[in-house]
Amino acid sequence: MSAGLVKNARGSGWITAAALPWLASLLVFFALPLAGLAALSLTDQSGQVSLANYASLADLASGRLDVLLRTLRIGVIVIIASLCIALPVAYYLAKVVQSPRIESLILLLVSATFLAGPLVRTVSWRGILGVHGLINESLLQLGLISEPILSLLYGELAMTLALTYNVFPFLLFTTYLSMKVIDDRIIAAARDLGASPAAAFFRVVLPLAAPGVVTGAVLVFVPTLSAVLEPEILGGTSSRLMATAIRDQFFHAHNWPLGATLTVVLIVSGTITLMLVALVTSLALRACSHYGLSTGVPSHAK
Amino acid sequence: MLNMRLNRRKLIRSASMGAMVTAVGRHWTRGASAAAAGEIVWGTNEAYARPDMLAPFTKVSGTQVKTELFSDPAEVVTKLKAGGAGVHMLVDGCYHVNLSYADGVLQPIDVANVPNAAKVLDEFKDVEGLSFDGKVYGVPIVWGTNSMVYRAKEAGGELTDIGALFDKQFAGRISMPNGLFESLIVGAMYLGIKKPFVMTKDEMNSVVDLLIKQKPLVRTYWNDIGDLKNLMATGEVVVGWGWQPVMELRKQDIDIRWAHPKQGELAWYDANYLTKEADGDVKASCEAFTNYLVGDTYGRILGEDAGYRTTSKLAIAAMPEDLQKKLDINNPAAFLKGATWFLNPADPPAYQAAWDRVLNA
Amino acid sequence: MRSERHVFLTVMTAAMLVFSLTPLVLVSVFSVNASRFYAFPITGLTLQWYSDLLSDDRIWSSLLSSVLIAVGVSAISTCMGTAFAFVVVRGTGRFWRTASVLGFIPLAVPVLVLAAALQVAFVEIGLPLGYGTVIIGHTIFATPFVVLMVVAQLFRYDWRLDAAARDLGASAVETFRHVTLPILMPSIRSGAILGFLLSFNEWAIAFFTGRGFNTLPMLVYSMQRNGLPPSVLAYSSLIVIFVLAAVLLLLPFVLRMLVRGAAQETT
Repeated sequence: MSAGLVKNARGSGWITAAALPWLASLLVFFALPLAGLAALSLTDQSGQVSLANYASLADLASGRLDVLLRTLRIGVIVIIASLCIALPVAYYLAKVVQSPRIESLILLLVSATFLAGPLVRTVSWRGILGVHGLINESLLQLGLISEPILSLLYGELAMTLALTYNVFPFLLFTTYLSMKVIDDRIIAAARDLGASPAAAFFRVVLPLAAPGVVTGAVLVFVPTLSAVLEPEILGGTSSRLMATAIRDQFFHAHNWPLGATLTVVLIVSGTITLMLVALVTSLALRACSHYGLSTGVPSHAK
Repeated sequence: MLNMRLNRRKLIRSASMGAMVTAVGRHWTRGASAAAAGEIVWGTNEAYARPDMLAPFTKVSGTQVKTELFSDPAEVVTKLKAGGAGVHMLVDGCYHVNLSYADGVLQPIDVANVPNAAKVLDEFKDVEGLSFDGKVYGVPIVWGTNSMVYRAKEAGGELTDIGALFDKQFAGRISMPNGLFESLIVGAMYLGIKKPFVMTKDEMNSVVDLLIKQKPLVRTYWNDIGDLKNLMATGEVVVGWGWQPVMELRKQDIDIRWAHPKQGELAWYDANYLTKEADGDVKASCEAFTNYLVGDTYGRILGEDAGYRTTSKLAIAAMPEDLQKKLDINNPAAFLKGATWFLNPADPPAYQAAWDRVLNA
Repeated sequence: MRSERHVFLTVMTAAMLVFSLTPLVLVSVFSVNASRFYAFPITGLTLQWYSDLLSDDRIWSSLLSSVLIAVGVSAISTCMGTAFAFVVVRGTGRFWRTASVLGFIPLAVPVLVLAAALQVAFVEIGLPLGYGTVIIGHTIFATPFVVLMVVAQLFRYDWRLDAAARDLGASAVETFRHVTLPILMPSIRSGAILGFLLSFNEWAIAFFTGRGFNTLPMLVYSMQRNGLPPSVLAYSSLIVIFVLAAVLLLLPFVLRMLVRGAAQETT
C-alpha cells in the first residue's frame, strides 16, 4: 500500500484502520494464491509458458464458450426471478404489514429454511418436480394430465428454479432492509400528491431502495458462478455450468493449467457482467424517479 | 512451473503479514498439527467407514481412526497434491489410482506388516494398480462390477445388449454415468472398440458422436450411485449403466435386474493405499489398519451394513451362509467372467476434452 | 396505508412463503415415510429414520464442528465486514474507491477454486490445517457478503446524525457506539446471520482446508454418494423445526428484541 496515496485520502486515519483487517487478510490469503493461479493459467501441462489454454477457448467445437455464456445467462435470469419475488415481498414486509410479529416471523421462516443445507434444499426439488413428484402426482390425481410431465425435472427449468430458491432470500433481505429505513412520510406525501400506490412504489420507494436492490442483485448473481449442486442434481444432460467444468479439469482431467484458465475467464467475465448488471439496475431504478413526481426529499445518498 | 512456485513462495514469504500470521496461527492450531501416534487419518467414503466398522480395530490397537470423508477419491488426491493435507491413507480404485501414483502422493506398503494380504482372493493377485515398479502400494478391500441395470417391468423382458442404452424405445428413460469417463468407456464397448482406455483419435471421435446422438434419449447423467438408485427406485429411468448398490432396491420389492451384456461388464476394486504423509509410528499404525481391513472382521461388517463385497477370504469364511449368498461372493471367478478391469484412461485430459464435448454439446 | 390494492402484495408474500416452505414440508413428510426413497407414494409412517439419526454419533459430532466454525466465522466476518462497509461508503479518492472494489473480488471466484487456492496458501505460509484454517477460509468467503449486507443500509445513512452528536459533544467513539451502531444494527445482525449460514452450509473450503474432522456438509455429501439416507431428511426437518421452536417459544425475548429493532428503524 502506497503511503502517499493513503495520505491523500481524506479522513484517512479511521478509514485505514477500518480497511486494514480485511484488505490485509485478502492480500495474504487471497491475492497471492490467486496470482499463482493466474500464472498457472499461462502455462501448459509441461510447465512452459503458453497461451494455448486461452486460445483453446476460441475452439467453438469444445463448447466451452457455450457453457460460459449459459452460466452468465442463467445468473441474470436468477436475478430477474429473484427480483420478481423479492420486490413485492420486501415492500409488503417493510411498509405494508402492520404487525412487527408477522414481519419477524416471515423473515425468520425464510432464514430457518437455510439450516436444512444446500444439498437437501436442492434434492428436495426432485420430490416436487419428478415423475412421481408432488406436481405430477397432484395433476394426475386431479385428472388434468394422463401422463406425467417429464420435462419438469432435469433441465434448465429445474436448475434455474432451484438456484433461485437457494439465493432469492439474499435479495429479499437487502431490499427489505433498505426499504425499512425509508421514511413513511415520504410515501404518504407522494400519495397525497395524487400518486397511485404503484406509482409511489416505482417512483419513490424503488429509487430510494436502490442500494439494497443493487447489492442484493450482486448477492444472488454470484452463487451461480460457483454452482455445482443444482446443475448436477437437477440440470439433466444439457445444463452444464462453468463451476462443474472447472472442477472436472482440476479433479478428473488433472489439467490444472486449463482449470486455472477457465477460472480466470470466469472471474473476469463474471465481474464484467456483474458491473453491467449493477449499472443497468441502478440506471433503471434512477430512471423510475425521473418520471413526473418531484418529492422534494433531501437526498441522503451521495 | 517449478520456477513459478519458487517465486510465489518467495513472494508469500516476504509478505510482511506472513510471519505474524504464522506465529499466531501455529499457536492456536497446535492441537490439530502433529498427528499423535495414537491417531491416523483415513481418506475414505462414508459407507466404508461407519463407526461400527472401525470400532473393533480401535478396541484392539488403541489407535483412533479419523476419517476424511469424500465422495470421489480425486478430491482427496487434489488435496494431497497441494500438500500438508494430513491424510495418511486413502481408498482409491483401479479406475483412478494410476493418476494418484503419477501425482506422487502414494508410498509403498511393507507387506510383511500386512500378513492378511496373503488371504486376499486370488483374482486380485496380478491386477493393475496395486503395485508400481515392483513394489506393493495397495491392498484391495472391496470389489464388484459395473454393468447395465434395468427395471424389468418397464423394460418388457430380459436385456442382454448394451444397445438398450442407445435404443429409442427407452427415450427419456435412460441414465448414463457422469464421472470417471465411464460413459465414454461404455460407448466404446458398444462400438466394439478393443482398447477402450487407450482409444485412438478416430475411435474417440466415433464414441463422442455416438454419445451426442444418444443425448436426447438420456434423462440425466448420474453423479453418484445414490443418484442412480433414486432414479431407478422412483421410476424416473428404466435402464441405466450402474453398479452394485442399485441392486439393494430389490429389498424394497422393486424388480431391478442386473444385465450380463454380451459386450461385457467392467470389474473394479477399491484398495487401501498409504500416502507419503504417513511415516514412523503412523505408518506402522496404517499398515496394521490395512491388515485389519482384510482380516476376518471388517469385511463381514461391511457386507452386513453396506452390502459391499470384501476381498478377504478370512472375512468370507466368517460370514453366515445367507450373507454369503446375498452378496453372491462364493464364486468370484464366475462373477468376473466376461468382465474387463475398469482402468483409468492413459490420457485423462484427452478423455476429459472428449467428455466435455459431449456435455457441452 | 392499508388498502384493497395490497391484495397483490399479500398474495405475493403468501406465494413466496409457499415457495420457501414446500420443499421443507415435503422433506419432513418424507422423513416419516416408510420408503427409503425421496418420492411418492407415501408407503407408511415410521420413526425409524429419527431413531437412526439419534443413534448416529457422526451427525452430532460433525454438527458440533460446523457450529463451532460458523460461530467463529460469523463473529470475525461481521466485525471485519462492518468495518469495511464504512470504507466502501465513506472512502473518497481513487485509492479507496479502487480498494473498495478489490474487497469484493472473492465473490467472483468459484468456491471450489477458492478452496484449493486457500489450501496452497496455508501450506506455503506454513499454517497447519485445522479448525483455524477453515475459519480463515470461510471468513474470506463470507465477509464480502456481510459487507454488501451492511453497505446496503449504510448508503442511506444520514451522516448529519453523526455531525449532530459530535456538535453535542460526543466523542467519535461515543457517536459510533450510541448513534451509528444502533441504527445499523438490523443490517449488522442480518450480516452475522448470513455469515453463519454461509459457513454452516459450505463444503469445499471445509474439505480442502480442514483436517482430521468432518463438517456436516462433508458428512452429508459423502453419505449422498450411496443414496441420501432418510436420516439426513430427518435431521433437516428436525433442525428447522428446532430452531423455529427455540426462537418462537423458548426465547420470546429474541422476538421482542427483533420487534424493538424494527421499531427503532422506523423512527
